[in-house]
Amino acid sequence: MFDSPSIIVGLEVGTSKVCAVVGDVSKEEGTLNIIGLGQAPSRGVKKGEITDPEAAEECIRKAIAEAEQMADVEIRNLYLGVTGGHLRGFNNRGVHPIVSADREITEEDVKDVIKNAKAINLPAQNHVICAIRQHFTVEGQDGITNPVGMLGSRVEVDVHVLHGNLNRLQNAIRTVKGLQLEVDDIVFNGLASALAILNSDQKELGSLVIDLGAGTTEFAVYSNGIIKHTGVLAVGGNHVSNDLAYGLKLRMSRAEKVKLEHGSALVDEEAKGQTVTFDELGSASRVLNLEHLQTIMYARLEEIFQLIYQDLEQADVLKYLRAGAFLCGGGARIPKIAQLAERVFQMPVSLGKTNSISGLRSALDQPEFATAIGLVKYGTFQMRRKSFKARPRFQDIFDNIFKRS
Amino acid sequence: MQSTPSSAPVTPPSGERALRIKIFGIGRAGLKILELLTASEFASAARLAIATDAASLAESTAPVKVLLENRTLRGLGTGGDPDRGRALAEEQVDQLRPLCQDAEVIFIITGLGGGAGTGISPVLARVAREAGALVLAFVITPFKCEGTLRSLLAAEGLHQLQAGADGLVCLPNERLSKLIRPDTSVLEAFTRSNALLADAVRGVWRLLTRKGLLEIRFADLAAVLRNRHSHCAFAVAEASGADRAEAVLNRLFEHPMLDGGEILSHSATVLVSLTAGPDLSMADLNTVTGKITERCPSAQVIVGAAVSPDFGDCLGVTIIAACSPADDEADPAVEPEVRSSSRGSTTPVRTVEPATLTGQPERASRPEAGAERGGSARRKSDQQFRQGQLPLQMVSKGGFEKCEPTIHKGEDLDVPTYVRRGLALN
Repeated sequence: MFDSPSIIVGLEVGTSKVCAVVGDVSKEEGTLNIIGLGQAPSRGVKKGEITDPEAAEECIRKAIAEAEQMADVEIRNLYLGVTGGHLRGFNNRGVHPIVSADREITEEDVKDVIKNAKAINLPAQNHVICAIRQHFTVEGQDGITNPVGMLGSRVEVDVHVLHGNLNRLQNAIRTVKGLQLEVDDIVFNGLASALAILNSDQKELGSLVIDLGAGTTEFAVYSNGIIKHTGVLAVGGNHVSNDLAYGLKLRMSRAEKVKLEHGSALVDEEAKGQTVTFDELGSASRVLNLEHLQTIMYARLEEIFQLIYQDLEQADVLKYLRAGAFLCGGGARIPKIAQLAERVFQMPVSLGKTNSISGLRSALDQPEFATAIGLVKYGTFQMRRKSFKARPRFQDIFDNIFKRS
Repeated sequence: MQSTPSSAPVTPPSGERALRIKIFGIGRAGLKILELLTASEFASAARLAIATDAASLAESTAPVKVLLENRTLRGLGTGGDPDRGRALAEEQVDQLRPLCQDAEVIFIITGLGGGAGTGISPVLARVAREAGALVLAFVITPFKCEGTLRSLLAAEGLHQLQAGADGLVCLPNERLSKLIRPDTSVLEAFTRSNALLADAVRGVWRLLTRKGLLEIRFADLAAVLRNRHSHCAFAVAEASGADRAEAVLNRLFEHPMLDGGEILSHSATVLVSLTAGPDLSMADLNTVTGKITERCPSAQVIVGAAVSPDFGDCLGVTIIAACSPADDEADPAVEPEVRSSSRGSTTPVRTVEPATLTGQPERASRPEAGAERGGSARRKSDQQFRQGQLPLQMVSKGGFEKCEPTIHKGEDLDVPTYVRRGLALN
């Protein structure tokens, strides 16, 4: 409340790296400008979740400090990205009858219907991360974005609910709070990546965003400008390295390096029968069969895409994907990954660009930063919504005060 | 350790008992060995020769000769293909069955690795067991220099024969190379190996037929061997002189067929047969049996002793050590050939073959024999399958071993995809 409200920070605690992005919303135009970026290699995180809070805290501290230095601001609040195999997303519908005499839908009615939609039976240990409003339906007429002022006897709304295990979500929040940082909100990483990569046209047409992280793979489907479907798979780039380490009998660090240097999502024709030699300090040089390396990678990556495809098929959202699929995350750097994805999904696939944001463009247009940038973008939406709500009423102010105390 | 072809006419006809024994020589090697078991020595046994080519059968002096032949072979024999031999035997099983009648013990003598011996003997063993006989197989496996394929076929045949026969004595020719000098001629080497196997047959023959001081009865032998499908190692040694007991023991324990006495410690049953002149002393008997029992604390030791005037002051000892199949699976030293082949993908399936092919009328009349055999073979291949899987699962998770597993529709996604899909990296 007291620091400059125009500064928004996104923090992603990933399996391979911690990344903090500082955004500045210019007051006149309301456009977002990225002014700082900090990152640190991550420790104590497995499959997207913190397993060693102390080690992770240290990495977060480093990344935040770097971002603060670069942006020349002091970071107090941030938006935290969360992920993990325990997260689930589904769509739910809420109904509310309009009881007033004139049948005009008021803001109160909208609030009520959303509240109804969010009333979901969840296991006690689960917590709703966010419930994203999709479209309203008034008197059977659907696709309405704002029903306030319309007439009708009942209003319905669809929400996309993301929930996860409360304690496991709390672990991430607690770790960040341990650094005297305030978490404004937690956001699902897959959602953040989609926000960073898609422009409004793509959201309208229908797109799939796949974030190939080190520990997890998140995906989100946008159509008609709203979130249709999300999902997360606790399989990522580390699995590729692990497969290589096992299949080629390498150390994990060496497998990681081999993956970056010689990896490919498809088995190259020219790789057949080829070998690569590398010297290792303190041990004899090794010869690896390139075809085996790429076969192992191909099998794993194809499986990841196939699992996503099956999930989308089950959710019946494949028909919405008219703009194709976009890849981001570190895995998007794997050569020929887009071709492999095209083969599995049977639709145009391209690498996602975070060009919807101005700022340190060349430094930021990396697939790895999509999530952190998306978190900042999410922050701007939240801020706009707050300022859009005009002057808060007294009741709200009191509510807020009580909430924060 | 000198083998004893010289002491061939040791068995006086008077010492023989009316145990009905039939000796089958199968294939070219089998016929050659059968030739060594002369008629005078094995007077009370019926000797039968089975071959697939007329030429080698013509050379045989066996009283009963059976030519297995059909039109597809065109008189050329099996051409080294065990599958042809097996198919032929299965086809002509009606011809084999009467041969196996009226026998309490059936010896099957053959050389593995070729077409006739490898293919026919498992079928014959099965038929013989169905006819109610105790089946003992005496086989030679090829030298390494005879080619990998032959060794593989032989190992496969050995497995099948072991499943079919009650007891199996195998002489791996490769072991023999330790026994012979490097400059031995090839002809001599083969002759030696044939003679050695003939010795084994002779040793068991003596056990069964000789009336002795300590008799080994057929019932004893049947009790320890029947339905065991055991694999036997055997050794024959002789010594004479003052401390002949010590000398003969040393020769036995140094015998390459016993792996320096190592095999004895894994054996389930050990048969010891002593033969000597009339001066066989209690001390000799005590020393030999005592030392051997010491070597095999867990085995059932059956001792037989006989007196034969022909031996003079010689002391001859024959040891047959039987390992149950489970034991020799666990012990790589006993049977390296079989072990290596059993890792192969085709072998477990083919091991079951003799049992599954038993779709004959006899099967119905002796259901327990067929079922038991098939069951044991199948159990064995199951075991191998499970053993192969377990370590794979544990290693392959690598860095994710301590993590919460990622289970998707019952599949553990932490295990490399190529492993789960069974992609071959060759």
